[in-house]
Amino acid sequence: MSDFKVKDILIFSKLEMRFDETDKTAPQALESGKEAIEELKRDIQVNLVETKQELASAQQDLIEAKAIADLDNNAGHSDTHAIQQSIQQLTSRLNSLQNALAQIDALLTKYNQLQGSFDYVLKECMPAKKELVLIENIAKKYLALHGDSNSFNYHQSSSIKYDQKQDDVDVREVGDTFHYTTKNNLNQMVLDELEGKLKEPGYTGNKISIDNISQSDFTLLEKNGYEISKIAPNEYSAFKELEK
Amino acid sequence: MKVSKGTASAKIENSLTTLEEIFEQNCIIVNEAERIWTDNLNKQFTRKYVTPFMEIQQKSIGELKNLLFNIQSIETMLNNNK
Repeated sequence: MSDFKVKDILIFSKLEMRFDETDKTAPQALESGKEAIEELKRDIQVNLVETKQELASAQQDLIEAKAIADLDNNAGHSDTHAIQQSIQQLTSRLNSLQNALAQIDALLTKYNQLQGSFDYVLKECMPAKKELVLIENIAKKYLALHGDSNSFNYHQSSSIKYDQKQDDVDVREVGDTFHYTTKNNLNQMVLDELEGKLKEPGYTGNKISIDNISQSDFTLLEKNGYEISKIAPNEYSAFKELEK
Repeated sequence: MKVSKGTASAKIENSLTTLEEIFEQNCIIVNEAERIWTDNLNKQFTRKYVTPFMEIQQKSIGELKNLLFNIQSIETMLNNNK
């Protein structure tokens, strides 16, 4: 935990939101793209059938027009020519449609592979959301953002005086100094209680040292007359000497 | 021919725009995370989740751009042969 370095724990929920938003939106966008290609493919298939029918009909017309022309000694020549032109156009369209259909099929295959890869990777990445929630909770504890003054406890003994470590608080009296280490955030009640105990009869010490403070506690500590020191990168402590 | 120019490509363009917008927002937050979350845990998290997450989006956007180009070509070819 000493390596936990984060300047703003909101980043965890921001990241989680991006994973969530991507999970909700991106697959749908990809699916819409696929539907568009499939729709185009259906249009092409319909046109392909229609074009084949038109071509067959035109070829039949040509046969009939040629038959009439033969019977009537080249009469209806212009009809035959027009039908031949129409057949050429229809053949060209048929080739285009067949070519387009082949290309669309290839694109759809590629698209399906892309969609499969995307869905797979996204699914593999989604545990990140839960992990971010977990990390955020750890960070909140570590940075002492959730204070609980009820968890503040300390005792005194004679020789080493006191050394107790609970889930939320660690208080020791060494010499004339109370060493207080919190895992939760500091608040005014905690500081008042700590100073109040020190002023009680029977306590000889007059100094308070608070370890593991977070930067969010600086204002409160300075307001209460504590001197803040940087003891390591991202590690701070606060000190105060009381008049007794 | 009932194939109307732009219909499929317009829809694919919409999909592409959506993916690009998501990716752009993701880049902003991921870059922010790199700046303010600087411990080893972030390195592990990035390696395990963020890198593949961003890579697949980038790859998909690239392939969608190619696809859009191909679909536009097909639509042009079809419209030239009406």
